[in-house]
Amino acid sequence: MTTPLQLLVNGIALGSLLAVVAFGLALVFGVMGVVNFLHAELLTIGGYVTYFLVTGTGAPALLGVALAVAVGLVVGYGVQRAVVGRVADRPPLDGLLLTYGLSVFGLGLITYFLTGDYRSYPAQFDGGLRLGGVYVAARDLVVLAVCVVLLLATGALLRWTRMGAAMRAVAQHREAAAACGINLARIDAVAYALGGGLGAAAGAILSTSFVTTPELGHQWLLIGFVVVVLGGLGSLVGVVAGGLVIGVLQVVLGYLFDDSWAQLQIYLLLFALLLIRPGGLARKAEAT
Amino acid sequence: MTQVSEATERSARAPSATSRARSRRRGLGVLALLAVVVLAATMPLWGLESYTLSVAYTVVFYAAVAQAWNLMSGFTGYISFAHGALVGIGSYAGVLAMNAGSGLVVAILAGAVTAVVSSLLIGLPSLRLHGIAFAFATIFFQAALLIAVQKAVPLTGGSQGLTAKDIVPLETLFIAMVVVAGTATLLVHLLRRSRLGLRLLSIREDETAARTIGIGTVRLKLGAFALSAMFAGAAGAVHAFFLATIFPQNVFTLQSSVEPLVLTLIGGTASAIGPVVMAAIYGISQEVLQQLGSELHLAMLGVVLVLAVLFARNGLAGLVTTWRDRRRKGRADD
Repeated sequence: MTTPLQLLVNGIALGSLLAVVAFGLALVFGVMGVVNFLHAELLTIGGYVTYFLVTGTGAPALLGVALAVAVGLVVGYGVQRAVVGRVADRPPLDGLLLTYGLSVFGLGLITYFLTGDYRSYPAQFDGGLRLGGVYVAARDLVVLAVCVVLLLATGALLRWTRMGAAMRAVAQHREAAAACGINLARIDAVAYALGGGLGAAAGAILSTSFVTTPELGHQWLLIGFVVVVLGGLGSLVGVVAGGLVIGVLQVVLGYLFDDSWAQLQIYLLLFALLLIRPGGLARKAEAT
Repeated sequence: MTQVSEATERSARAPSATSRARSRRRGLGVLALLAVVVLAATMPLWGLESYTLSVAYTVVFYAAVAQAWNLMSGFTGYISFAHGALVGIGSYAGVLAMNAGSGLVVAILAGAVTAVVSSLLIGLPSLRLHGIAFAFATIFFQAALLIAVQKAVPLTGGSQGLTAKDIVPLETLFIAMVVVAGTATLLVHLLRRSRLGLRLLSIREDETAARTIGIGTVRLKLGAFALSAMFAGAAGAVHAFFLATIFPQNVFTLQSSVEPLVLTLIGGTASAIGPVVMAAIYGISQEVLQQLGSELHLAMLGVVLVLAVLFARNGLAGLVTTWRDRRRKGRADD
């Protein structure tokens, strides 16, 4: 028996995951002004890192999440320094095309080396809790807990460290931040690395409940963009709220119709959003 | 991008003698283009193996979709990630029309018209958006369409695919595709230096400035999008008969929208020859790389896009222009 409360709980678990996916995107866009399509490949990499760790060594999936964060940070930092950093001060469309090209390159390579096989490992978290009339799967609880930890850690970093303050300053006004002596290239690289770490972590979490394929990241990237546009940029609270709204919406619509109809409706919602408040992405892009 | 402003500057200063020479050169260009198209259309009569002809067909198909993209995004600078979807819409409309009993020409027209209508549906709301927001709207359009086509089983057959009732010989399809690609290329060539084309290019250079001097940018963008969709839809309809059976998951792929974008960005936006040259390189390299796996081909496409954004933002045509200008300047200095 599925009650509204049950749907709400499932939606919140999904929403927290979406917030993690979207926060990496929002961070990179806020600081660098780049719409980062490569985020999809970082999700996929996170998924595969966890899959190979769990099936190869029998380690728990949570260790996979930690390893994915490390891999994501390194890959993000490297790619930013080598390629993406070169378009930081170019028109926003250049950044979008560049990361799109990188994403297509990554998708091709991953598919070539790892094949399109569906990969999954045995479920890690069995059972669940029954609270009142609501059944909460242990898996959802773990997802929720990991996402909250990730978001809080990132939020704390942004709020209370010098590096975080510098990132917020760059997001507010690049030129002014540079004039105050902030090293833009370094901050950009750190923001991109953080985005990569969050993306890979999200992918790792996804691999615990879904099959991992080379397309894993692309399936979640679009919905991540919906959350970013809905939640607005630069504010952690906005992205989390956006993630929760979309998560609950996806679960409720998926229950009323089915999952792919739900997705279609959410894409149409984004269409409407873009029209009502094109400021979501466009205004920021013009300002930088 | 400097290319355009230079051209306008030059024509503003140019005395009438050179402008006459310019229009004569343009006339020659049209004739040369027509000659190439007619020559290409006779290829089925050369007695080629059907494998060779199918490779040639693929090249012409890439040229057609690249030029369709060029007509919209190349001129206005509004990057469309939905041309794969427009081609797909043309494919479905074409097959549905033929299965309802129409002939090949009517089926192609059906594909073109349906794609135009769809382009207006996305264009009307989203062309008021700027650069990135427009790109987003097109990405989501394609994603939504994939789901819708998979779901509309009674009409499209869903994931089981849709098969054309009649088999159209490759020779006929080849000629049809040459006509589509040739017409689109000719239009790009004519638009390049026409008043209408310059107005479209002014949107790419500075839309606010263009609007300020009284250019109706929204109407122009819509028109360019519709024109572009017409060719994408027609090419899609022809291509559906080449494939015989179409599946949503093969039609509305990421790759189908990246291909026209990359080929034109690298060949040169608003260039008539560049995208065709790139289509030939791409189509032939695909045959060579097929042994290595189509995934590597996709990876290569990504690398090329990255290199183009970093080092040749105006594509090969831009590189050629820069090189020629530099050489000319060198000669003037002697």
